[in-house]
Amino acid sequence: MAGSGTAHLRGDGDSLLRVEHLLVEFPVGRSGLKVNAVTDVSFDILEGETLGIVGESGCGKSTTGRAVMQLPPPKGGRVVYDGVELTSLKGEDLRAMRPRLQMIFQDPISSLNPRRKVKDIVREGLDIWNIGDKDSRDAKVLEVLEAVGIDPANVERRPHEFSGGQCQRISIARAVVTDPKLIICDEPVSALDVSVQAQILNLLEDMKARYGLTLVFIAHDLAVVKNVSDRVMVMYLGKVCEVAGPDTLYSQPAHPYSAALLAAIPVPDPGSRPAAAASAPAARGPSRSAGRRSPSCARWRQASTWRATSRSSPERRSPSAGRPRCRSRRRSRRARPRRQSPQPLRTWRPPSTDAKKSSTSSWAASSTLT
Amino acid sequence: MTQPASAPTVSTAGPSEPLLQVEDLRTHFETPRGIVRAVDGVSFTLARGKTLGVVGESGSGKTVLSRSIMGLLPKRGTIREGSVRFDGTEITELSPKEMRDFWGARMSMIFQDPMTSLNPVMKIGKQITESIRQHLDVDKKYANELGENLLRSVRIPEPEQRLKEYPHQLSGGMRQRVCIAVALACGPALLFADEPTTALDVTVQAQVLDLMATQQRERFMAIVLITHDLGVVAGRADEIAVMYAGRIVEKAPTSVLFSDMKMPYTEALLSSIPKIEHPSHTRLNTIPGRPPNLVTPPQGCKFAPRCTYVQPRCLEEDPPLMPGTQPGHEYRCWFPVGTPEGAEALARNRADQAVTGGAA
Repeated sequence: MAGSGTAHLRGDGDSLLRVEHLLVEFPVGRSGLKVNAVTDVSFDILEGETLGIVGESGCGKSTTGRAVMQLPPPKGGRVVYDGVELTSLKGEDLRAMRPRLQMIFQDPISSLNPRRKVKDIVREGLDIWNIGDKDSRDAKVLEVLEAVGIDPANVERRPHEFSGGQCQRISIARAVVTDPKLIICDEPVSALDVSVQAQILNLLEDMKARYGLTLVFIAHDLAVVKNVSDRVMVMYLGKVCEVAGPDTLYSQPAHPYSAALLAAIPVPDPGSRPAAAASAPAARGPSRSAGRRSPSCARWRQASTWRATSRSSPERRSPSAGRPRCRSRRRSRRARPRRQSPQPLRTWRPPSTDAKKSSTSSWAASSTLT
Repeated sequence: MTQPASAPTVSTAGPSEPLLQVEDLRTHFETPRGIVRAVDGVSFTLARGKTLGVVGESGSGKTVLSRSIMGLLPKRGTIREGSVRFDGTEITELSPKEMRDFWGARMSMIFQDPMTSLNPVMKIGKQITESIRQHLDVDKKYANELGENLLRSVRIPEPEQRLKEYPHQLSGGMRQRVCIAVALACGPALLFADEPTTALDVTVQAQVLDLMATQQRERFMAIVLITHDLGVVAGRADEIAVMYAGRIVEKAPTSVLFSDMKMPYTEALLSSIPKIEHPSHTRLNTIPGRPPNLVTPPQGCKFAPRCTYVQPRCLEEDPPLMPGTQPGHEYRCWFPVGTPEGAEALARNRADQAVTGGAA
């Protein structure tokens, strides 16, 4: 099925987290239908790496993050963390893994308990797992709070006395205090101002270096994701569109959806309106075939038309399992002739494998490029 | 669709008078901690069909400015001084009852959060036609037709169906479109958009901003676009006002602001945005410290405690709005970016920092 390849996975032994064929479904009321929130997603992360996950809201990026945490456990697939298959664990065994995987949430203020003091919020993980004695816990809490830039004099305060940026720092302190190897950051800077966002992004880099963290960084802002990531995964409608290194992805997006996302970013420069960028594709990526219309050019044109169409995301009910097709097809203008044919799905042919050789990045649904 | 926009805006104003003229607007709040100077002497003019971008960090007074101009703040505990002339009428003196003729009909607002700014127990159709029935003398059937056309013009598919739905049945982007439709219903001459896309993703953000631009062209409407993201206003605004601590610290036509910024705050704000063309793991520039306390603001330049160009004079004397070399450019700084004095101040601070850093 399109979007479900495993070619981008690396060797089995050296990855800290390896996710294979992840499947998450939610029931729709009592109708018996289900939403395929995440369908057959595979990725891996090496130790010390940062994987950025981008996509629109509703594309399943947060659900992927939560499924890795087993909150709730996925319907299918394997999640192997540090040699342990989390998907096979239950009850106490799974709970014992929890301090080693942590999460940072989008809304810094509502994700902290308003009735507890900051030092107690940060300390809670240590108390639950009985790590060290009382004094060493206090010392650890102060050390971590200091590392994230919270004045130790303020540890008796409660979250409402802090600004959004400071609350996000406390969330980060709370996450690193149990010495996890992997932290899943679910839109950690989306609710913050640009100036505070820069502080938090720098802080995450510092914490990564100081505590040897591996991060999964989920966000919808491509510039932010590029800034922190070693690898970027683009998701659309519960599937992987493209996995690539940030520099490759941003200079030569292989999937039209990635290109459309890039074209939609507002650039803080009045000279390059998004529409203007769409008409000047040559500067963005080299053309790949001589004598023919450059594929990057075609993608850029499409990227601009994509933005202009107001078609909302296609519905994900009524599962399409087993049908090979590109999920972004319905919003793509280039796919229109197929859409108008009476049986669109059956006239579709799987992409030829040659297309994959032309780029270092792997992508799904390369059909629109051929 | 274009005609109703100009129909109710017959006024005493001559064609040369700007649509909105704000002069020395001050909005202070009485709180137990003292008087908060949320807006402290803001002046600008906005012509018909133009867009003013207002940029600043949270707490800089952008939202209070827009609400103060519209007269949406509670009377109790609020001190509002200065003059707001809208289409030839001084509106600061008007009572809420008199303001009702302006709200919705001649000036309207789109709020940041589309999830909470619609009434959850009212159908979309009712919310759109409410102001049409209030301000325009039309019957229910015609109002519904107008509502349907509005939904179509903000590109909501199946508008006749959507009119009968409730807000929770729509996605975030769709809800923001409905909010735009509500705001445009009576064809206002002035639209305040208070962080209209902050709660939306990039693709939806681009769609919503494009939609606002189209509607602006069709209706010859002025827009005040409030945001913390310089990227959002860069391609959309004719003029940009950067706010800090309740004041405009730099104001210029968009191209001038980006090519020739004078205020260190604008520079710092721009450099803290991660750029797509930078390689990954580029260290971002941050603005140290936090916005000042608006109860007891610092003496001198309000940005001085966080500024890399700061000099002793900045801490004592408050710089006035000074005109720049290009028309329409104003800024508040003694040592502006891109001038010999500014470069000298920065070099001096860097040298001092190196000395103290080396000593420590």
